[in-house]
Amino acid sequence: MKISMDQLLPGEKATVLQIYAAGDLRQKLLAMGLLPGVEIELIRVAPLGDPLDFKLRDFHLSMRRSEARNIIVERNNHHGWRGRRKRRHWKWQTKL
Amino acid sequence: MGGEGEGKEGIGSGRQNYRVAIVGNPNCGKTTLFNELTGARQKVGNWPGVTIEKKTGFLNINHNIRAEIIDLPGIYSLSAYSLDERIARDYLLKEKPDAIINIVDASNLERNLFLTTQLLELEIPMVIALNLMDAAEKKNLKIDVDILSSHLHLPVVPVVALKGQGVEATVEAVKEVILGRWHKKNAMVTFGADGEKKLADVQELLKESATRLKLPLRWLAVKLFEGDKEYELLLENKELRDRINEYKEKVVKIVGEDTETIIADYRYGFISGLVKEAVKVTADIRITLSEKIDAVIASRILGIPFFALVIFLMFKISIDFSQPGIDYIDSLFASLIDLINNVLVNLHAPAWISIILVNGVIGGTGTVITFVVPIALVFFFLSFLEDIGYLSRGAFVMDRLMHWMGLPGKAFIPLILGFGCNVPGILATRVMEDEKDRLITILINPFMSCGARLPVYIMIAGAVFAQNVGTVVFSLYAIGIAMAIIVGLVFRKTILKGPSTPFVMELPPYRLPTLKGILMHTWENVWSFIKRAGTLIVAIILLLVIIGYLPVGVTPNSKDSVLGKIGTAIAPVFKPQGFADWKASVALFTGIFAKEAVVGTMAALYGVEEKNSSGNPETKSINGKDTLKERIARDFTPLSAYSFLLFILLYSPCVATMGAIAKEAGLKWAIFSVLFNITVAYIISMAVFQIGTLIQKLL
Ligand SMILES: Nc1nc2c(ncn2[C@@H]2O[C@H](COP(=O)(O)OP(=O)(O)O)[C@@H](O)[C@H]2O)c(=O)[nH]1
Repeated sequence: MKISMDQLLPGEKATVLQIYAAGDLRQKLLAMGLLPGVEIELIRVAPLGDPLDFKLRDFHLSMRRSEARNIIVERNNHHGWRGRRKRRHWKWQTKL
Repeated sequence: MGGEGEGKEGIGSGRQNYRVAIVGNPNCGKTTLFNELTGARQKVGNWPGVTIEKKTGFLNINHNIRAEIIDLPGIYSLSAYSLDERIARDYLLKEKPDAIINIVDASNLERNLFLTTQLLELEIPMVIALNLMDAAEKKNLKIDVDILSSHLHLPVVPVVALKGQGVEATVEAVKEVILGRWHKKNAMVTFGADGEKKLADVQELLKESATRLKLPLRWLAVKLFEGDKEYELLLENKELRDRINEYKEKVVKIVGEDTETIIADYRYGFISGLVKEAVKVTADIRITLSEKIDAVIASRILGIPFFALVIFLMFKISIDFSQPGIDYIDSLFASLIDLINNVLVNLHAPAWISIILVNGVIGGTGTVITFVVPIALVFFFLSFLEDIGYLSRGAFVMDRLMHWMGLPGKAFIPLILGFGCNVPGILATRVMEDEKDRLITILINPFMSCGARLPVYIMIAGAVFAQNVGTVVFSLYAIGIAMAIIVGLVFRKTILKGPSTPFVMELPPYRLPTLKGILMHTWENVWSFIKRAGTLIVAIILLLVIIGYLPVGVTPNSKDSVLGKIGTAIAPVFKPQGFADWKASVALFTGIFAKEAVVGTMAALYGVEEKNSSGNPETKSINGKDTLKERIARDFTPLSAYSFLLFILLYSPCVATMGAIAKEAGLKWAIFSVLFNITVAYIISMAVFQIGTLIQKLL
């Protein structure tokens, strides 16, 4: 299902399909490697609900919901909460 | 042969001086490596016409080769969108350095190599310093440097700038490429059989233009294919532009994407292939230490309290730690002044000499040096937060608030810098692309309480609020921030309406900073403060001492002096604020020249008067500091002192700040800022004093 990137939940992964941004923003996203086909994950939401912290190509990129809205993605797993729990689980494993 | 590039003209002419530019993403360790390469031989200036810092330094490669190292702004790509990118691009293509050191973050290869693929097209001899190898190792990445080197056709040197590892090998590689001993031509990203064919056609069309513009042909063709605005304007031939556009449209029709995306896609495709070959992941770590830390301190619940705590600690420590230092320097200068006074008395020197020399020059210098301690601590903290990577988290946590003010997260940095000094704060707005955002950030910057105001708070609050100095000072900072927010919002809704710019920011992993790096950064700021503000302060104090002494014969700094008359004339205006005292008015008057001058003025006015009233100017028991505090405490109630402090926080920016505003936004806005801020200060101080008085009466 196609959704915009701001609709992801923390821990959910998705694949970028389309970028509806122009000019400055588009160029910046391209330079950062946010291109159709790349996998992104929403890591967390800032304390006041915006911006969002995404992970892609092994680094973290934060952007506002208003920017993320221009990027169309498709979820890779449909179970956001389970995905998140899995992440938690991992955290403990790497610690031990 | 590797000698065809235009950057190599230095070889034939037998020149011994070479220019080497350092290019890399933000946070790749550029500053650290630059410091390692150049040591203390650095020069800090500005790029021509703009206020972005330009650092250069020298490196002696061997006894007959010297390289000037130029540190270019940290950038992610070579587009023409941001000022930083344009500066880097202009330098590389117009000044044509003899070599580039491209610093690449080994722990984040893919994104860093994007810039590298663009740099390759500039046809300038290049070395890759693969920095942060230790961080890559921690991420369990095993990087085959030889594979990278053979695919990019460049020397690739593994480096840990933090520990100075690989620096010598980098210098060696730079020597090889500038001497033309590296016999490989830069590799280029290719854009598919079809794309290359189209690109070849475009290159054919552009041959003449490239020669005329002195630009590498392929680079120009690729950039025009992407639709680079700057280069499109450089093509005076409309027909040419149209023909290139035709090619672009054809490609867009076939691929179904715009050319910018297609080209970025090929670049990343090339990089992915390269990384797959050169990098082995030895064990999969899904969550790094940085991510674990962020899960706590950038979390929804703790993010804001932690940020507030950091900022609170920063100022609490800066103030409390600097107090003993200030006291020590004070007493040192007090004894120096006594000593010189004694000498002068023994020499039977005329009174005016001792007044000018002792009170003016030495007293003024002492005042400047006491500021150095708190300012150094503030900058130390800021540099630490910046290097460790927390400032971007601050922007992340606070962005919603900034956005609510109608400002981008980027405005956070200039505003935070304003806490040190509004001048660099205002200059730092250069990183903001949108004019209206910039203007608002400039205009609200003076409300961020700068380091120069700190000694004023410390002196007055120290005299009046014995136990609660830290709290009073903190409240002033908080009110300044609140005012900045309110005024920013009001401006955004009224005189500067418009949408805000996109916010896309990297959150770099946390990194251990080096003490050396932090100290160097701190020192740069302290030194520029001494240079820029110090001389001005001494000059103003000297001026005040002189007009306090005139007309000849009056008791110095009394009401009858020129200075006293100025103060007496202004004073009644401040009756509603509770400090209609001529000394306070004089201090505010001089504070416009430099906020810190308030301290010097009050010290001069209260200090000297004490000596006069005691009737014995040579009494050694007068300890300048204590009597000063006592006298200030006598003239102010806690309420009027607070009202005075609020006025100092909010009123007219100092002369240097006015200059910065005029430079960045125009004289009109500088004048506006002065008038607006004085009005705001007048109203707020009045409100606080009147309401406070009313409450006191009621209790
Ligand atoms: N672990 C590690 N940290 C480094 C290395 N080089 C730089 N750093 C740290 O990375 C941070 C950013 O470095 P800096 O030189 O300021 O980067 P710049 O933004 O590119 O100028 C600082 O805290 C440095 O101490 C390195 O090789 N290894």
